[in-house]
Amino acid sequence: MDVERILNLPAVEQGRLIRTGQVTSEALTTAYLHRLESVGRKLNAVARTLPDQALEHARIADREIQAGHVRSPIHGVPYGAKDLFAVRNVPCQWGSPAHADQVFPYDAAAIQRLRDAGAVLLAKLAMIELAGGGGYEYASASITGPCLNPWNTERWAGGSSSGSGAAVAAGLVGFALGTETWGSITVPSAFCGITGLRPTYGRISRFGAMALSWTMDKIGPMARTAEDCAALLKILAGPDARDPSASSKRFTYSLGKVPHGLRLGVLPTDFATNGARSAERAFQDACSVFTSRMRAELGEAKLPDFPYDAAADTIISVEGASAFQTLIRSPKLGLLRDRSQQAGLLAGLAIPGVEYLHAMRIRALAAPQAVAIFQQFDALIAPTLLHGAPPVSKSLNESWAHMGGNGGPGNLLGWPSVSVPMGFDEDGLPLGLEIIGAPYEEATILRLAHAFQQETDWHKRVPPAGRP
Amino acid sequence: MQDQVPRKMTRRDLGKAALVAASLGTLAPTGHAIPSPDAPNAAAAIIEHLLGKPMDEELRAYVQAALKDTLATWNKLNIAIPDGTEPAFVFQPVPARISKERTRGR
Repeated sequence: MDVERILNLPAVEQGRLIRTGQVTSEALTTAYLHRLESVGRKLNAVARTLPDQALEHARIADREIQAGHVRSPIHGVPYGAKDLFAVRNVPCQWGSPAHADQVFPYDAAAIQRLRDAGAVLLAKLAMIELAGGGGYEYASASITGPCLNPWNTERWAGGSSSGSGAAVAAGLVGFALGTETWGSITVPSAFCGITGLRPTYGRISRFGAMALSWTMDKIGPMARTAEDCAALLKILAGPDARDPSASSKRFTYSLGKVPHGLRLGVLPTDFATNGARSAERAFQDACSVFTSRMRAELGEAKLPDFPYDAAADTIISVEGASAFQTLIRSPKLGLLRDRSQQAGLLAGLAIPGVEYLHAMRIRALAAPQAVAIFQQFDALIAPTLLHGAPPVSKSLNESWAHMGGNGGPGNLLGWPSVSVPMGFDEDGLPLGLEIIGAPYEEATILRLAHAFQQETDWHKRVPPAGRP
Repeated sequence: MQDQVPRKMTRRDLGKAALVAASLGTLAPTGHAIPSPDAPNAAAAIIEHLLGKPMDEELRAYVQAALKDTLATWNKLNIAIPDGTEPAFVFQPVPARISKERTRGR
């Protein structure tokens, strides 16, 4: 089989082709490595490729599968990981010039789980420096430069899991690992036209992943379909003694038919004020898919009134200032590419402890009240963002003014969310639909996302940079 | 390059920092500062104190802008919450591991 033809297929489909002998993991790995070095470098999506290790693991996978030892549905499938996951003895730069020489002598839990499942790590992927913990003004806030969008290289791929989004969209990996503290999986997924899952806080062990905010960081898969995300979450989820937040709740899923009469809450969105006609049209079409094809019932969803964004902002600022305290108090802070990032980290030092605790008390108060919305609705829906990717050199302070989004409550309260492609804006850039669920209800939102993708083909579109 | 961590703060340093903090404004009943126009400047001074060195002019301007945002965020956070509301985390004491030898010895 021509390898070029399967580079943009979903990971579980690639796994099936490897298992049935239609392609080898080694051939797929070789093809992806070539694309990472050619296309990936041009997009600034790559922190580092791992050719020797990847080819060795691919050959082992091929031998195991030939011997009948199949580890998982993604055995032999090559992938990339955001460059904040520790991989033993491989440089891990966190996207930051101040951490250019950093190496860890162990593997992150997520990397280990994927290795045990037989996946092949191809590359560490580009990211915004320190996952943008201090707040950044420009897409260039990364040691690898601004990550370009595979749909239009004059636009940004999104952040902070920039390389993960661009690499999946451009057919440079079978799937990718990303992380989200506030928007870092859903934003690049929406901008790059891929499917990204932000799991419930604590679903996946954070051990070995850079800490920005201990109480808000989440790890999640970025892939081509909801089915891929479900298969990957099944592998990645589970308890880990090295991460006290890692939950022992089991994740099981079934992607069968969505039952009729599912109740979906539509989060309020101001399309008019934000000049978001394309997003409005695409979202209305998406709602029609749910109502007409799945017979879902739509209703207006209003969360109880809490300062979700302000609380999340305060918690991230303080935990980030503590997590990066050594850097902040050293001359290396000046090596960060973005002045706003440096300033934001410094400003975190001045937030009083009582203010942080106030935010954490609001969080405790809001959690049980807000989650009650899932007694009314099975899931919540909204556009992930109101516009496509902004120009790569434009100040994000400007381009974010009318971007919308619902990241604050979901991230503060640890709710899972999946972003799936739902159309394109007037400039031909992808738009995302966000489906948000109750804690530990990933199976519900992934089932909905899968059903949506059975009825639409937005997720099958391949950007110019993704065509072999 | 070796990271340079500023010297440890003394009690007297903390007292000085508290004086600077007081210049941020009076305390409202909920414990939130009412920001004065000088607040970002004063907070920047605290940061310089913590760093043990002055920031360059450009960085100081960026930090003051970030602090203005921070103060705006505090205003949004300023909602009354019931006394006794615990923060969203729990401390768990680590149980001691007492060796069998030690237990037998008693």
